[in-house]
Amino acid sequence: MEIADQPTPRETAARIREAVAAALPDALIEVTGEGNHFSLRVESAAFGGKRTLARQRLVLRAIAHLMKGDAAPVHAIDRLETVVPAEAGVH
Amino acid sequence: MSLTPELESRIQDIVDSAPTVLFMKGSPAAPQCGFSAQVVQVLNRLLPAYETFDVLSDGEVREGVKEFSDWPTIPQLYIGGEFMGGCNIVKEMYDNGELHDALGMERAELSADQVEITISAEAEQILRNAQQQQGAELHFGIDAKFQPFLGFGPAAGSELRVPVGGLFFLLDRDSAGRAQGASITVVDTEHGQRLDVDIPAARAGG
Repeated sequence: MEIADQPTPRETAARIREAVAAALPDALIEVTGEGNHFSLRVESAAFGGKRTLARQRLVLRAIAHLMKGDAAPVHAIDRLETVVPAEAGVH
Repeated sequence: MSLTPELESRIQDIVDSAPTVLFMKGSPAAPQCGFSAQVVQVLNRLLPAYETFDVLSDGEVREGVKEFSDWPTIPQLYIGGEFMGGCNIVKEMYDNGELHDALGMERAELSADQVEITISAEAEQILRNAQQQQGAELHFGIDAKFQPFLGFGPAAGSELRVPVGGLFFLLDRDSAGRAQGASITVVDTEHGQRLDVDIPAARAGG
């Protein structure tokens, strides 16, 4: 029986970045992580006027297909920072 | 797996079964995932009781609730039938006071110098040694059931830094209110020494 290669964290990070970029074309995206745990920082005008839950939903919906099932390349998002460009650099 | 009407109504019943419902892996006493454990820790500071559903015991609900809530991971917290979020959001809401608001609770607004905790010299020495060994911050708290807890780890940033003897304890704000006047001593038991925490607020019934 052939066992599919597990993607490297680097490949998975690239897939996360692609998926978020497809959903939020203006976004600045930083992905860090190891194994199957990742942290994201996403900066997009699409977050304007939205609460944290709605902001995180936009991102998580975009990558939901990478988190589905027991063998999913992404097991967990340890941190998810969602920033509106105007809010960036304030702190 | 798709969310059938039957499964949707089952999950809705679970959501409606209590004012606060947490879908988690494991139980509050034995969480099976670090993220579930973190949400339990936050809820224990605020609520003496809440409902949990162990998704590991039910594969249908485990997958179904992700679709139901439109949220890809477990844990998931519901308050008053409304989806709050997962671990990251719950911790953020706790720190900024939104979780207290959602639960209809007042947030204790104390400063570190208003909290008085006493410690015996013997107990202080034990904790000092333990802290040196761990090389981390000392977290102390008293949960909503008045159970004291003690642990080591990095600071979250939102805690109060309370001087206790020659040490510093990090307390979350809800624990700080309950810890007022607490005293920590060493008692001898048949199994050896253990730390005892006297909590005046527990005797006052809250």
